Amino acid sequence: MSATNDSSELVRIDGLVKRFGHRVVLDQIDLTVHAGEVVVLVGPSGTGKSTLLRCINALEDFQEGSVLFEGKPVGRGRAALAARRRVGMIFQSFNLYPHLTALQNVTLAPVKVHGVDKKEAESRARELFAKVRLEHRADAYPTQLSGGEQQRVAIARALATRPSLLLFDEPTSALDPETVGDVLSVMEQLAREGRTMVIVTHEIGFARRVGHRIVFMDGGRIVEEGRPADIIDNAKAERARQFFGSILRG
Amino acid sequence: MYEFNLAALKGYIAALPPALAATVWLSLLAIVCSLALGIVLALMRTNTNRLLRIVGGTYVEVLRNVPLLIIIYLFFFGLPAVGLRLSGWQTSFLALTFASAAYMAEIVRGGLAGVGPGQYEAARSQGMGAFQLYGYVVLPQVIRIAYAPFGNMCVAIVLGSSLASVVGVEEVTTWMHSAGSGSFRYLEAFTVAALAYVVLAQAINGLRIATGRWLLRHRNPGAPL
Amino acid sequence: MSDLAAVSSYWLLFAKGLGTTIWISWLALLIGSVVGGILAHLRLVPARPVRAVVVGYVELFRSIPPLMLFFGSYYGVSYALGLNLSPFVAATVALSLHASSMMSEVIRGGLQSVDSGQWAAGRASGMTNLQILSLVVWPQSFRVALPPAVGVYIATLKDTAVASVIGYVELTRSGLIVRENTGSSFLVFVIIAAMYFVVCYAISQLGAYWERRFRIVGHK
Repeated sequence: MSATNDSSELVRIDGLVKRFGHRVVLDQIDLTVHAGEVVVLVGPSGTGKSTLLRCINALEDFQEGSVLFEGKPVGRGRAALAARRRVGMIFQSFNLYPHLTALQNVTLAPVKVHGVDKKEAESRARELFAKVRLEHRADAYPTQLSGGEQQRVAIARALATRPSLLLFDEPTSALDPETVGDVLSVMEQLAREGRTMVIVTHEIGFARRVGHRIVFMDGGRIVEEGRPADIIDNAKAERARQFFGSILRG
Repeated sequence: MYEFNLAALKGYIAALPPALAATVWLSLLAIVCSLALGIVLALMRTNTNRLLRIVGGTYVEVLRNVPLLIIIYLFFFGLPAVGLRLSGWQTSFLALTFASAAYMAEIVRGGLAGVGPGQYEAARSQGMGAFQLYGYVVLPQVIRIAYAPFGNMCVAIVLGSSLASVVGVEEVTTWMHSAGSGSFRYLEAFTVAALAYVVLAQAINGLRIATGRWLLRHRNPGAPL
Repeated sequence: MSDLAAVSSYWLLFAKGLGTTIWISWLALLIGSVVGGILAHLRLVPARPVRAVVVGYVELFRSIPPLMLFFGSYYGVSYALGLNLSPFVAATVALSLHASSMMSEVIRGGLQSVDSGQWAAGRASGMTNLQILSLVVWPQSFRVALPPAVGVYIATLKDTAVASVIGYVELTRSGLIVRENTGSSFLVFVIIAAMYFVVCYAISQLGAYWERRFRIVGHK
């Protein structure tokens, strides 16, 4: 554990251990994410990837270790609110607020949590809608939108609060194959803009194309990590080779 | 053949508005108080604490399976035996409130259950504190789910208030009884009183439907109210 | 607790009261189901006036308190028609009217739950409306309508308590009689409440069991 604080380290996880009853869900996780990095967490289902993601913005708690965000511990409960306000999260099941229009979904947090003026929040929201190519759907309710459209609104919602970090929890797993591409292309655009992103996904092709670093997890542990080309084609760990091999074959 | 003669009630009509007001007032108070108690019970029933869950659950099951009249009698005739002598109005209000709270608890619980866990996650991930989470995300959704059963419960409370006449409260049913037997025109008195209840009930129904239209405006045209 | 001894000696009266309660609530449910069933099916006819009358009936008897119905059928009828109905008949009429409006909605819900495609399929294979109803629609409606029907029965059973006000001797009136004879109020009503609770709770558990069972067997 280094005593100096590298300011380009946006997220620093040291020795994280999470137990659920007697079961160890996350086992001694060390992970660092630098500003501008796109880190992709991959691995078989149920190996703790989403749980680890949720530890970054304290939606899950843990028993041992530390999680630092922008140099400060993330904290728990009320203490975590400050960190959460600078992180944007996109969920597998979108989680848009069904009683609000797409536009209202995007302006709710900026206005009510960050105190942004309503008009300003709305014009920023419309900019973001243009960015995710949904200008004409701003006044629709989530039930009137397709899955891919909802997820793009969710991305706009996350971006609206100007976060320094974006977390994606299997953003395309609940989408029809045709709309997966729309969402991935938006994410690729964000990566090219230099945003810091941590993505949990099964889309290995996307990970290879867009990721700076792939982290392979299994059984609650980080088994191997490295550059996409290195790890996907030439993984050192046997488990990792099996995983990538079967993905590429299938 | 029986001749329907509303004019025979003339002397009693003046007593109707206060009786109506009494019914409305008793019902309104019971609605507000039973909703408040119902929210507490719903939170008890969904709490992580097992004892709270059991107490809340028992309360709801017992009060939903005992007739309102018995609860009124328990309060009116039974309480004096342990030293507490309440008026007819007080016992009716308490009985109506405690009984209705059991149903309000289930309505609130149903509303809360309709808000998916993902909603809490999304709101928390945006850095919302408890007040913001419940105020902007959870409550608006609970209201949209629960407003219809709540409206029906309000009608039930208004109809249930008629039992207050049994313990001497001067409201619409008491009026009907005294006007009907006093003028020997029971059918006319019954018609007027029944009309009063029907108007009240349908007014609440109308409010419920209008609320639904407003809450769910612009959404899924053709979706059921 | 000499109260307990005095009250317990009336156990037979309590039992009879419970018996009449269950008897009259069953009767009202039966009549209410027949009338309600007819009304629910009448709502399917294309004729607008017929449907309007049914809706009017249902809304009317859902908007009048049971106590009023008891008074109306007991005092109202006797004042108006000179016909002195016994408390039993008056109570049964009142309970049946109320139950019929509730059952009409329950049965309607059951009928509506059957996918309209079923009607089309039945017609396509040359069935008459009556055949479609009896062979296709009713079996499916029954499963959906049973749990809420249990709810209507419990509500009707609780409403029988109000019949005590017009002098019908069911469980509540039995309790009032015992109270007069023994002077014990609290204990009597606690016993009465417990008896209602046991019966209603047991029935509601049966309804819940049926609901679970039918949900596994059925597909809706």
